[in-house]
Amino acid sequence: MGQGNRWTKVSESPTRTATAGLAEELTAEDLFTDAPAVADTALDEKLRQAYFWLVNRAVISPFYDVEFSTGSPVSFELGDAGAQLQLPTDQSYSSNVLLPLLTFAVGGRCLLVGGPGRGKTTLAILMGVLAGSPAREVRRDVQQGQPQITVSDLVGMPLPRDLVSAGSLAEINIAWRSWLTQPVKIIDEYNRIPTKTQSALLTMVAEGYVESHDQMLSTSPESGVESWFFTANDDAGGGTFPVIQALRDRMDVTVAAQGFNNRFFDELVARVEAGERPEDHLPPELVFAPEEQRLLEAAIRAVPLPGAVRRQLEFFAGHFEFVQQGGRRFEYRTKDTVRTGGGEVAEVIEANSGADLQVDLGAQTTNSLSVRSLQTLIRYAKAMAYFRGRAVVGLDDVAAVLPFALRGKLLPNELHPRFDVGADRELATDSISWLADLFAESRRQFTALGLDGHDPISDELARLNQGLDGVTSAQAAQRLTAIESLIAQIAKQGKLYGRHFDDLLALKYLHQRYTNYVSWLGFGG
Amino acid sequence: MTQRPRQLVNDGVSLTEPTLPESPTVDLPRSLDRVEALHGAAAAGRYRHFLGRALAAAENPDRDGMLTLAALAAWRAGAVGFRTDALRRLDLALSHGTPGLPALAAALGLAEDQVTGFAGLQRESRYGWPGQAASGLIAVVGGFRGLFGPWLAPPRVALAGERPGSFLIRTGLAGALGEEWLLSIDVFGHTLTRLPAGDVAAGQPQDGRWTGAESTAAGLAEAGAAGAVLWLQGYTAELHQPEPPA
Repeated sequence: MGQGNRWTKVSESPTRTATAGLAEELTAEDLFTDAPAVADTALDEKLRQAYFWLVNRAVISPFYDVEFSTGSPVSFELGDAGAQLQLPTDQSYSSNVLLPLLTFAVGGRCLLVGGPGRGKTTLAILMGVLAGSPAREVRRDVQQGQPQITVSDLVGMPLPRDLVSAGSLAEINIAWRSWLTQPVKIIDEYNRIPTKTQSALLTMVAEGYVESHDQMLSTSPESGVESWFFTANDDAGGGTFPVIQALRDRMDVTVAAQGFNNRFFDELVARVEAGERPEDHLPPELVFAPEEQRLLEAAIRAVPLPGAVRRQLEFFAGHFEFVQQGGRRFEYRTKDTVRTGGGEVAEVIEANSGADLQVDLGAQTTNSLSVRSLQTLIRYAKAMAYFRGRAVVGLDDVAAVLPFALRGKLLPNELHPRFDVGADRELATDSISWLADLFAESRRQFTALGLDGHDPISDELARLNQGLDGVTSAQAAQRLTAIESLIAQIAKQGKLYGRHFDDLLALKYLHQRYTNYVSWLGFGG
Repeated sequence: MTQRPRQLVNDGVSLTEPTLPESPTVDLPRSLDRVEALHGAAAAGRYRHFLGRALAAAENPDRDGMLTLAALAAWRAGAVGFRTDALRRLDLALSHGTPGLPALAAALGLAEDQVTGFAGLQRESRYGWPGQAASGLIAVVGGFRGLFGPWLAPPRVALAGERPGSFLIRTGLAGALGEEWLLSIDVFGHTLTRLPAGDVAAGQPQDGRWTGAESTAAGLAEAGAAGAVLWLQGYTAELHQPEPPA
């Protein structure tokens, strides 16, 4: 049965409405009418076209779980177990296609999890084809994880001739595997790879080079932008070998491959009859040349993160480090102190009778956010904003990517009442919904505490950042008093939460700076 | 010091936030949204300021009068796209006496006795403004995208456009794929529109205008008689009114 050119259709521009053209031909009447759509041929538009080709043509994915709405979306209560179906009012997306595509754009690392036959590897291969590699080559370069795979299998081997004749390691040439320098690297079933080989993989992923017999090869492709795609049937510690934590931590985003929606069976039948693979039919205009990949990555990095959004992120991340009885000295009252000291974080949290566990978001996790996780979150939030054609990162962009960037990194405290009983029990296994809810609750607390208005600690930090030139001893003493007063205000509240921890340490830092300055002024006469 | 985009004419303007009156003839909040969509929140703030003052000074304007004041306020706020229509409406209003001079002056941020002179200055130069120095900086445009500007890389070369107030600017690092931008500018505002990527990827536009284009160390004069000059400076471009010939 002929399938015609059903693969070649690319969504027409603009895939999102944008601001109108700005020639000097606007009239006063135009001020009172809606802006007409204009075509945008920039890379963000190309990225969106690639997305829509992937979801509409390549993989059958009628899921819109990355939701954006302006105003209140229509919502339906379904069944008797609290299920809710929302109908978003703005363009929304399918996470299992969008997050891999953003990974390709930013040069990140994506872990695709899900049962067999859900299209995880196909999606990864499609990313390789988007990067300009022929589909056959991308398929050949997929590294299949299996229990016998060795480091040599993965990276290549020394030339036998050199092994016999070389007088030193420096004279040995390595026949490097060709996949190492591809722009898109795919490791299938990485949780079936032996631990030693996983360590070699970690060096490649983390450092961008590979080493064998004292020889080194940079894995950077021509564009300088490389993305990694890993697949696994399990993300809960299953698989033939446990994934080493350092490698797991390198996964920027974790996305679940969705199941097949049987209402789209006709498309499945058409594909069986045609015997075609989507990666063989990617329209050439959607391929990103190396220079475009470089520009795309740079453009995403440059999307501004406004101060108001940054402050919300600071507040969110601040919940998780502190644990009341984690140590004796104030600075050491952290989850990390407990864990590295061999204690059980969940038990220490449970022992804290001072704070309300329902309110304390930090009590829901057994760890805090690493700097790497936060950097990943910022990068993907910028990618999300860029993909949506937004000039700056919005809170909705952050909220959209946060669950995928923090999955497997921010770990739930299973002893917390929320996961034990009640309507939220399912969140113990649905980490994406839990993380989304955690951020939403953090935003609610931020607003309830009035932090979107006046923030005296930010003011004090800004005042110091203006420099100390010309600040007199008396003025510095005034500022010291103001800082002590802010600490006293927190102390007066009685209960202590994670959000106070960073504030108090920042105030201590300020106090130290001014104390040292006053002391220096004294010496200087 | 990091240069920020600005129009010199806005220096020293103290903005107010008047509540726009409800009008049965035009949807004023929608026009506010439109200006914001075109030029951002800062321009919308200026639009609210100038339009609010103009409506307060106007005596029950009819729909056409409202449109005139809105067009003038939008243009004054920096929406350069309304320039032609606003100028046409200003000439009509001055000749018919409606809307009245106080409202026109408020919409433009001028004193009443400056409005007619301003219209005359604009006929000679799109940068004309009462009390403006004969030479000097008119505007700073561009800026790094990470600092809320439009450009990923510094501007490297520029060409004068075919009409006054328009320039083509190419940004990009040496040896890398660049972007081309069309700058439209006048005394109140400017727009920077990114041109289609296809023309840039080809390396040379079809008409070969870029051949021999150099940086603007000596200043690049615009087309037409007014003769403003563009200089590329770091991540921004500056538009100057040159010294008049001796």
